[in-house]
Amino acid sequence: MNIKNLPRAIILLILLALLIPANHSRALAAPPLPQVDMFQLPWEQGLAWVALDGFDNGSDRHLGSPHNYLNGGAIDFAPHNNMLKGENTSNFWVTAAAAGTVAAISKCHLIIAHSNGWVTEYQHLANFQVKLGDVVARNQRLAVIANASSQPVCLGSVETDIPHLHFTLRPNMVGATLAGWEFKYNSFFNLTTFSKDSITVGLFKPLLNAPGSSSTPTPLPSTATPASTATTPTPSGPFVSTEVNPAGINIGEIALATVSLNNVPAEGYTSAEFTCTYDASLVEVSNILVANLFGADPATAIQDPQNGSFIVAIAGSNGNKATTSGVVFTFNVKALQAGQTVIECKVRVNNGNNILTDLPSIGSSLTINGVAPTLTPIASPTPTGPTPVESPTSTLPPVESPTPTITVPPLESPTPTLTFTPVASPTSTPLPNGTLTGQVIASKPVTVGLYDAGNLLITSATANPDGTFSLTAPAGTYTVRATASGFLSAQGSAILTGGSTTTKPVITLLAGDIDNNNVIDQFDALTIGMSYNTAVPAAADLNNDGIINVLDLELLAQNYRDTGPSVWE
Amino acid sequence: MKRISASILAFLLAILGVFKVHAQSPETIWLTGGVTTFKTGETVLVTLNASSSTLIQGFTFQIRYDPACLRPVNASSPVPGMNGLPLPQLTGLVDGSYASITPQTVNGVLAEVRFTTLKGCQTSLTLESAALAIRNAEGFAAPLPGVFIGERNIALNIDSEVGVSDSTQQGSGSILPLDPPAAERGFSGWIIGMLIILLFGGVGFGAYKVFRIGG
Repeated sequence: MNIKNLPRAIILLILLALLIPANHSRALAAPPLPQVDMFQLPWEQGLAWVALDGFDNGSDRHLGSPHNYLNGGAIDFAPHNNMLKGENTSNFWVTAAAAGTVAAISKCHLIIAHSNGWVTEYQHLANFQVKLGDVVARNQRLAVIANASSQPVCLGSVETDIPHLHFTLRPNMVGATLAGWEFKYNSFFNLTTFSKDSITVGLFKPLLNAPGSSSTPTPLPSTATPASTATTPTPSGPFVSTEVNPAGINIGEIALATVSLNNVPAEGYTSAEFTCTYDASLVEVSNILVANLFGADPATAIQDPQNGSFIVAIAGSNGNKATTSGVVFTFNVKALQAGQTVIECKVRVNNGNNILTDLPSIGSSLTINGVAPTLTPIASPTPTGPTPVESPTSTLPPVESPTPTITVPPLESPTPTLTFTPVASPTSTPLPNGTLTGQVIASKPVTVGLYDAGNLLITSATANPDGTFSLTAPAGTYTVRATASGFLSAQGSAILTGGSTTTKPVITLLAGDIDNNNVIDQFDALTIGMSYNTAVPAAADLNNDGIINVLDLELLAQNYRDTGPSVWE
Repeated sequence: MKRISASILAFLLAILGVFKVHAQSPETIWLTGGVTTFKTGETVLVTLNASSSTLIQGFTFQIRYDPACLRPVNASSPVPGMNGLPLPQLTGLVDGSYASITPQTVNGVLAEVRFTTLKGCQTSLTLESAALAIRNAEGFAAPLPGVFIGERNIALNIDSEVGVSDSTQQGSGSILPLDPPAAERGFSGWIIGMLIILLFGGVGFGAYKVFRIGG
């Protein structure tokens, strides 16, 4: 190449690189996103789990993987880093990310159908607490994560030796917000991050599940030196105290409440969830400020004060814990009318085993005098207590600072999928996986499953809204079955070859088998007639418009007397 | 005397037998027809009846007929709230289904079914199947178990003499059209058949021309 052309070539390359969208999910036709407050993270509120593996662009996983961002994406979560095969997972509860109905369940996974067509899938589970058709509430316990030893993970998992939760949200997960965490993906760098307000973390970082909060970790102003009256606590072990200073104020004046953890054990607490109560008719609460007892840059969520209570959830990041006693947070209490109220914060702490433990609590009484409001200087109380808390002035990140987001997880291996495989015996080489893709047309959510010769479900997936699906399983011959509520199922055979993709032809499921007996008959029609202008049973709402009426009967009539399962060539 | 005693005993046994059947099957469906002799073009009316002590939310019936002699017109149900479900029909089989959104007690006429006589025939109508339907715990329609089907057949004598058509005869309640499949109604079938013959004829003629020129 002529040396004169080199700068031109470089510029051209740069321009071409700039044309590559940094985030494909945004560049493509806008994928649907759920409402930001619809879903929480799929484990118990108040706990922080980590993401072991995120979205993928084909670099680490095959293109048909649910993790692939073009397929909607999937995330592998675990209660902590370095999960070990066979470890005790009996308290690692997976919970419903939102209210819904259990739409499918096997011995290792389940699917929940939510409103507006959203579907969540949870894989590698054991000790199920729900069954098919159950209506579940948000945060309801579904199962624990399988320990990958006596409780095997689902077939098809890449990480067969690591207890973890494989979680998907369909039709799309990339860009969705769960418990305030926005799931971001940069397909160019194949980088998954989680952002909540000004905090952005990558894989292997704690993600506190505290929905319903703006969770802005507001830095304490340097002047706000919390006071403590240091009333000697009665409990001898760890406890939480709430102190109000001053203990008596006039209407319109403001007191400062300080919440402290006391007698914190040496092993410390990785996270804590505080629930504070007060008489909302007498006082109002504002300006909740979190200190740095849980180290710098803690993950924090605050549920807005209302109706006499609020919740503050805090988790240390970067392995930080609360290992000493001290102030956790403060808040202002403004007197509204004369009277007396107890202000008390209760706490559940996690010492690292992901079990929340209640601690004893001590509250404070606030007396409000019925005196006409005077000037109300913001309580800048003088430190009178014996336990002066270090002023948390500059320990929290400034809000506008560029977040250290694109920091690859500081683990030894740069390949996330390989970092968490502490396999003792490297002899067991899993069969190479094959992929099955295709498209199933139906007006309702479609589940496609692979079954072995013994009719045992090997793996299943919920098809995308356009009916496309992708299943991964070890190479072999399977029966593939597509089902949708109220439709005749379709069934065929599928031969999966390791490392390659097999595509089934497009098939349309026949509407009308409402009672799921593999024939569309008079009784299916009668169900529509008996349920006319209602919404239940949902299987009778064939066109999925939320009401059972003549339109559903018309769909049924088109396939009347057909029997199933339909042959899927 | 002995003969009289035996006759009385036989009579009592017969009566007991009848009662026994009814005792075993408190839920019964049966078909009745009034007039059995018709002229061509007249309307045949048959009635589906039921006696049931169980609250039901629907019923379904299938009546076999000879499409050369009869053409179904419609069905109607006088049971309040029972709505007809228009479903595709088969030639030779009336397929009727009615459903209600509330449970009902039915004792008496479930539905009236009307046919038009087409030509002089000795034929019959047969209640091939019928069921009373309830709504089960899951909200799905299910057949009420143990329903006994009584009289199934009605013999009809249709005279070739053309009678007076009573097309205005309608039943009360929900009317359910029972039109047989259009393609099998005769004339359109002829047209389709002719088109197929013409198509094959054209193809054959073309092939003949090709072979003739080639040879």
